Amino acid sequence: MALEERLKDHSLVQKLKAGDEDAYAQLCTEYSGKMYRLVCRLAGPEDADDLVQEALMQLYKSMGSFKGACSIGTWIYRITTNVCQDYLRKKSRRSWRHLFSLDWLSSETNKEVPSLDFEPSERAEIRDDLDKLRMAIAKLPPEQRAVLVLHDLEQLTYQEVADVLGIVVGTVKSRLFYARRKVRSMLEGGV
Amino acid sequence: MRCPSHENLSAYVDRELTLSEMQKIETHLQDCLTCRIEVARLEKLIRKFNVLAETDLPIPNMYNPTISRKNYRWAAAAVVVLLVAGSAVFFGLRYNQSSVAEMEEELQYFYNNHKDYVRSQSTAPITLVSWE
Ligand SMILES: [Zn+2]
Repeated sequence: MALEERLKDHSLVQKLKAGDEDAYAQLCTEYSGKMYRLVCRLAGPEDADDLVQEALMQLYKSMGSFKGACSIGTWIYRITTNVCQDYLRKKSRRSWRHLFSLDWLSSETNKEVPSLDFEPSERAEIRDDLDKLRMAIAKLPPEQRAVLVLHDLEQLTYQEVADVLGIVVGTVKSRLFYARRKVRSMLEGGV
Repeated sequence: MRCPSHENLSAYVDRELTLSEMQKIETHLQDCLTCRIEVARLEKLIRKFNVLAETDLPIPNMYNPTISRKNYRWAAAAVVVLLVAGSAVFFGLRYNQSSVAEMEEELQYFYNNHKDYVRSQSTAPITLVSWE
């Protein structure tokens, strides 16, 4: 698991605990792109730059108080999702269409489906489905979208998702189930 | 054995059940076409998510560490710039055509000049909320 490798960096944790700014900078380098992608997936692209900056600032502020009780990855994902959740609350009256513009949903997808392991017919189907899939994810209620994005796109484990979102593993399991069911029915219903 | 819930089949596909639950479902699947179909549909959906995860969302250059070896300075400095100089300065720098080196230099200037201010602002505790 990709996240796991990064979590083992004990010397980075030690430096962060000591308030080392170079360690913070290293963290920014390594994670800001991933944070940007996560923010777009959770809260849409419109204010993504601002939200990433807000999350980076909160990381900076909390650097000294990071005790290493959770992994660095979990800590970063948690602060980033937290910033997104605040944002989504403030935007709660806005529909998904305002957060995720149709242009964005269709334009930024790189449609080159990796050739690995797919039958040609499935490849074509997947290519056709990518835009619909992104739209279906965008339409999910925020708390279901968060679980699905963290597990199915960011590839965190149930326990990691639970830690990031501050919920129990059983809730991760059921929300993921409902989210997938909704996405599937939207795909089958043509969205 | 009765058919497992679809929620458990979803967790089964993720291999997120206990070993004994996994084994029970595996045994059940050998005899139950309905559940095998459900598992196959879930696996197909998850393959689509995997493709989406791989093909989706190019990360803008400003967040790409391979653009510049010293890019981390940009990231650290950008936080400071936003904090002390407001987003106007930040976006102004982002959208002009200056090279990465020039950008770094300017941001480094801000960073150096406002370090103490940022430190003084850095005591506020972060409140983390739960997505209940
Ligand atoms: Zn069955």
